[in-house]
Amino acid sequence: MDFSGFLMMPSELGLLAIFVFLLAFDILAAETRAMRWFRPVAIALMTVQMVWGFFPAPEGTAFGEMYVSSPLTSMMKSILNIGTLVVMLQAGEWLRRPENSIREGEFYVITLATLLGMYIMVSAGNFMMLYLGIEIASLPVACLAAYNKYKEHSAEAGAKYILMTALSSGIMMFGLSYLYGAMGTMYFSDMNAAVAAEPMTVLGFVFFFSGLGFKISLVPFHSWAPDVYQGAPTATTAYLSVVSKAAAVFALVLVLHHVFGALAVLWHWMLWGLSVLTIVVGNLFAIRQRDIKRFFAYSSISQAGYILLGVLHGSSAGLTATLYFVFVYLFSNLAAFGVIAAVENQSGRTDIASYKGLYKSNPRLALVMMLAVFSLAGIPPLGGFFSKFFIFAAAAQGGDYLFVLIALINTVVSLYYYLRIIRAMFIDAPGADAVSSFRTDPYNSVSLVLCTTGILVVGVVSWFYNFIAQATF
Amino acid sequence: MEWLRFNDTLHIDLGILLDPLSVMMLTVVGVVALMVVVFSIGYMKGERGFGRYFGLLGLFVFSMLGLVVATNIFQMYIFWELVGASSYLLIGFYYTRPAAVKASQKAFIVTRFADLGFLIGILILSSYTGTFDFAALTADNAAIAVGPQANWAMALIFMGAAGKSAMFPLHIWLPDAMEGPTPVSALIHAATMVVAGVYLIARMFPVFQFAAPDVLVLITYVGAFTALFAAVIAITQTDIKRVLAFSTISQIAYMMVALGVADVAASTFHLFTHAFFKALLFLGAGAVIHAVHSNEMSRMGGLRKFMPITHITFLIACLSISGIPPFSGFFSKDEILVAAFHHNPVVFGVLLLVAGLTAFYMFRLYFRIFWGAHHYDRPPHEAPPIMTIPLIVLAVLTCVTGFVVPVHIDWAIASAGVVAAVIGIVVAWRFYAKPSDAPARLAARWAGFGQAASHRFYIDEAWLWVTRRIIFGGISRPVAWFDRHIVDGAMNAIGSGTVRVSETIEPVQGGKVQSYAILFVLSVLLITLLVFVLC
Amino acid sequence: MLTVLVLIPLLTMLALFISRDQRFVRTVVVAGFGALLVASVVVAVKFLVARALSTDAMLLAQDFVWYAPLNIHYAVGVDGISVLMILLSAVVALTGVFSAWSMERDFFVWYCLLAVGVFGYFISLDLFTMFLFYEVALIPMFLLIGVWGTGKKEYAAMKLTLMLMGGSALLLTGILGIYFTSGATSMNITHLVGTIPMAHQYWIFPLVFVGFGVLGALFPFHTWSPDGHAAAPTSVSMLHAGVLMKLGGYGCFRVAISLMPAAAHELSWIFLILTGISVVYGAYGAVVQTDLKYINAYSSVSHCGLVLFAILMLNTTAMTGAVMQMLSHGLMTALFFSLIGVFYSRTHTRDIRQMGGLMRVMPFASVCYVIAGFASLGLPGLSGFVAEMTIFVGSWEHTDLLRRILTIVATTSIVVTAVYILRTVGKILYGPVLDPGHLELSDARWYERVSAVVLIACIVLIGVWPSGVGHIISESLKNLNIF
Repeated sequence: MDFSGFLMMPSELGLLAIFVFLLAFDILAAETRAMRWFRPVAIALMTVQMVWGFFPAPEGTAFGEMYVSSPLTSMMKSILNIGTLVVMLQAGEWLRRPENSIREGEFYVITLATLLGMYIMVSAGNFMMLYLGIEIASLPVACLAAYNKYKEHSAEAGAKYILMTALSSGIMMFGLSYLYGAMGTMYFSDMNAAVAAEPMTVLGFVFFFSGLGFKISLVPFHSWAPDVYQGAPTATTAYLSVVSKAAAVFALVLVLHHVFGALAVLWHWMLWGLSVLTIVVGNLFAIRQRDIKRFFAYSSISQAGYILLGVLHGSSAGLTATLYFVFVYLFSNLAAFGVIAAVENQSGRTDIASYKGLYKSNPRLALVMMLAVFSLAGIPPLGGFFSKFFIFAAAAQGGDYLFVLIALINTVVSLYYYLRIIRAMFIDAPGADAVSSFRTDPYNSVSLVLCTTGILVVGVVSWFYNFIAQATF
Repeated sequence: MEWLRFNDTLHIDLGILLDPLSVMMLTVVGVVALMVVVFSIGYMKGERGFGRYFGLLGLFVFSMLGLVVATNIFQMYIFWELVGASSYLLIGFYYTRPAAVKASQKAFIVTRFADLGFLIGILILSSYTGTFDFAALTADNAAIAVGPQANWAMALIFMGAAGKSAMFPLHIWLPDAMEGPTPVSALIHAATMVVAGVYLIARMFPVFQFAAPDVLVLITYVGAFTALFAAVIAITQTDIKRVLAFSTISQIAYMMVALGVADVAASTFHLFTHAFFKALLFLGAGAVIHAVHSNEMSRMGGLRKFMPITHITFLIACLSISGIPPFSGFFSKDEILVAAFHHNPVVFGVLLLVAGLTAFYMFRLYFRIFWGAHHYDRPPHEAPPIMTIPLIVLAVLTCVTGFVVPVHIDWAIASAGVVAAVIGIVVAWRFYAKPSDAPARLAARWAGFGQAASHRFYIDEAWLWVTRRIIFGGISRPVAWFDRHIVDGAMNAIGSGTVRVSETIEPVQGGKVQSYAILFVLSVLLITLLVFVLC
Repeated sequence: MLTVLVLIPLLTMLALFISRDQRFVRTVVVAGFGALLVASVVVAVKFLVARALSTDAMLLAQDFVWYAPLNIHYAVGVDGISVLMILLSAVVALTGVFSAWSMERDFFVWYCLLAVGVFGYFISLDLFTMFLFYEVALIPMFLLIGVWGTGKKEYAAMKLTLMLMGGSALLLTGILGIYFTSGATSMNITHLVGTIPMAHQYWIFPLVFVGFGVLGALFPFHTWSPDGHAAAPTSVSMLHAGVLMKLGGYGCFRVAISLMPAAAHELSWIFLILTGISVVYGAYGAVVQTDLKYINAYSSVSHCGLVLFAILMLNTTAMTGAVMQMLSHGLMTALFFSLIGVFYSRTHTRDIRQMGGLMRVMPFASVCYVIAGFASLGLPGLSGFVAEMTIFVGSWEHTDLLRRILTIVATTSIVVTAVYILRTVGKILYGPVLDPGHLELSDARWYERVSAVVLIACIVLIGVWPSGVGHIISESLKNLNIF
């Protein structure tokens, strides 16, 4: 048996090692004082993994093209690493609460398992491999969603998630079988040559697409997202809304480029329609939300619509813009969730009303939240402005000015509801049960500093964009 | 000196133009201003805002001099606006009195409206002559085509002049402007600013003559009508300053007629003489008002005993304005009558009638102030020397200015004018010098007409109706309403509409996982269908 | 060199973060904005020196590559028009500080950010950076009005932000259109001239013009203005009406007209009608308002409408007038708002029906208000007159009937302006003191006086020596070669 293939996948192996180590740590050290060290160790290891990810990985394919590694995939994995690390930093405080501390290790271990799945999604060279990755990345998330199992909402979120995932996986599998039937192969490179606009292929493609659409939470496959986002623990929501979504976007981008290039005319219009729908519906629902987690569910639905804009034309500029957008979105959304986690841990509340007067009591958190929200809304000079601009530029380059205009007008709508948050924090007088002044958990503070730096720097310094462009061109 | 360049041909210069016309005006402005300033020292003594008063007066004189020496029409327009503003500030000098504030606003807005015409006239004129310069415009070979454009331009410029010089129907601001301090009325609203319109047309006269003779006809008729109209109203007024104001309107209209009948010399001569005797009248009236603390004739009478100097000087001015020789008014008025006679007999007839009426209402004023009897709680006393000396100086000027220009007197017409004046004076003497019921009987017979005249023929009300009903009620209120409810409403509707849609679709997200699954499956099928149908 | 203008407010903002007590905050802000004014004057002088040596359209230019794949550069440079706008902004920003004397630190933080956007916008040559700074200038407004405003502040702040952002949505589409239809080789304004195909100009021009026009109070997109100004605190109103609304006019000229003159020529009649409506509509709207700030807001609609009107006349004279009008309106509206702030802080009302006879109680502020009013109604010797006259002469250069009629319509606004100005002055300053409580009011304090005196000085300077600015503007326009 030839093991040389494994040399192609050092990051997967590294992650696996960390996973195994932490699992062993968790089991062996359970209910001992050593558990105090679990969190620093996990985070340190994840940091190492992240830093390591930036070093050039070997390029090429392994296991008969089942596995593909390229600068692009390494880049994607690095983005996912950063997201996971931030989520881990933010989760710590919540996990330390008495009702969770006994299960603290689980969270990290499960998260790392899903991350491994996402690696596989990104590096897949075969639809079976991709499907495998998606399943690894999805199923454990249900556990994370139901983590607070004694809270009704959390359990409900887990149940809903697992049911909907099962449904979408089924449909996706069904689509894959059609594709296989039409082309007789599951390998990307072979399919790329064979793909044609035949009914069966098209049917297979649409079914497969709906499965990924579910993960990205595109309208109309989004309906699970608000309930799950609201019910799941905040760290899980953050993970779902950023890392999990990013992985699905990456997979979608790769599949569209590597496999269905020949169907571009078809999926161009399909994505066109779906992304308009996603942006508009996400915005319309977001306007009226009172719970901030549910609010961010809708906000991230509409953000997903913008992500599709970059994919629309399949141009390399669009690809760069998409990756860049996800990169910035990661910092912005995670900064927001970091604040949400901090406030929730302090007050146990997630309604927008509890943010009233936050600037008076916790100015720093309010400022971070403001930056995050403004970045999501695309306000300069924050990263979100640049990422939106590049996305729009990519769409405009393809001549879709009408779409750009629609999307831009929707950013105004989105600004309305983002400003509602700003208004609550800065303008409204704090209510009687307002959040009092408190110190944020140091780990979470680190994550917020990281995200804030990201929001402020990634746009203004063009190095990041150029770095991503290098990998995508 | 170039002040502002618009484009390659048009630029505003600031310069000084000295020619007989401007020198004459400079003399008038300088002398009257000096007299008024001296008089004011006494008149305004102890008033609140003494310093402010003289500051504003200085601003006015500066602007007026700038207007007079303007080398081009735009420079004139600049100072034209400045005199308007200083006039506004001076009329509203007693800013705590609502009537003064109203009057000042009215004065400014009415003249501003007229200036709008002036401005458009300038634009039209300059766009096809390519210059603002008076010298270029009035040169003999000036390439000004006769045509509708020239007529429009000159008619609009006349509109500006009519506003400033209070020609019908833009005269309404002048009587109200009497709310200002009396010396101000003497300076601005009698001697100098109000004749700026006459000065403007005299300055531009060659252009009118060559390019727009039709406008001169218009000027003639407007002038003649205004002269008569204002004289009739003057008879019925009881406030002495209003009488003088209408008399000013009437006299300026005289000058306008002179311009209309193409006798610039007569017009400017009358301007010159009128400035002194009208200033004298106003300052005299000021002295009287200062003494009795009222503007109303009914509160006066028999003042000749208390205020001899004022009495004599006032009498001289009245004689002069009535056109009795050898006072200056006689000469200048005669000139105008002659010019009118040779031009148009109807206009001549009107002017003759006005001459008679002028004499009548001036002496009505004179007799009611200085003759008759009236009981005073505190006997009025003569004004201090600082006020009487200007009166005397002006009276002397009134006596002599008639002789500065050697004029040829057409005795036939002159005697007609004098006769008309004498008739007016005699009637006034019969009516007002002694207690008499003749005025009352006359008033009763002409009740309707008298009523209308004393209400200034309801012109003010008509304007008020236009501003209140049309500008405020008809335009501004609807505009404001439209803006708040339609334009802004539309913007708000976009916002609230979005929120409404958001509310409407909320139930879709009901929380039932079964319905989510159904939605999911149906969507997949729908998309598939669409893809097949469309692609 | 020019970047200093952006760095100064940015550093001031950072310095504010470390300052604790009110005195220190004031010192920092006054020093910062004072330095900004000095820097602006230095830039102006340097510009004049460079002007004498060079005929380039843009001077003091610098260019750094930022995002190479999209040809985005950080490119700055100024011509006479931007120099004047910079000076205007510096003056208004500094006087705004004096009018906001008692404000807290956070207020000034956003205020500085606003200044960063404004100055960055005026020095930018690159469409991307220009747009970036444009939005940087808009956003702080939400907090400035929302937190420190009065009345319906949340509503007004939201409306203002959303409408302006709606405008910038159109604008961004237009900018992308410009970039890609011109061959996607540069975002620099100076390089883009004449590269946009005619067919595309037809749709890009309206987008860009309306996009900027929203901020320039183009009818019917002006309705953010009355509510926004009424709710904003004094110095924010000053900066917003005085400077920010000029961003709109400047952008219309710099981007819409100078890059797409052909489309501007073809389509100008539509926008001329709209701006013509703005001019008279704003004036008539102001006549019946009872809130001082609403009066001024509608008056701004009218005056800024005149700016756009003049820009669309597409000739050097009118364009010169437009820039003068921007300067003039910026200064006088700042003066108005600063004085309204003085009155409001004493009487706690802005309703003209509840005030009266303030001239007797607060002579200094009242006299300044009268002067501002005169500037607004175009009295010679003050800046409004020269601007309006230049515009009217310029627009009269066109001989076609539509423009003639519109010019006449626009000129009527000077009468209506007189009506509402005098009405206001008469109601609040003249007459007997209406409210006995007002007899005790104090006149303007020294810092408020500084603010008023500086603004009046600038208004008078332009009014009596118009050829100074007029020359700078028309020279720059000639170098642009677009008319």
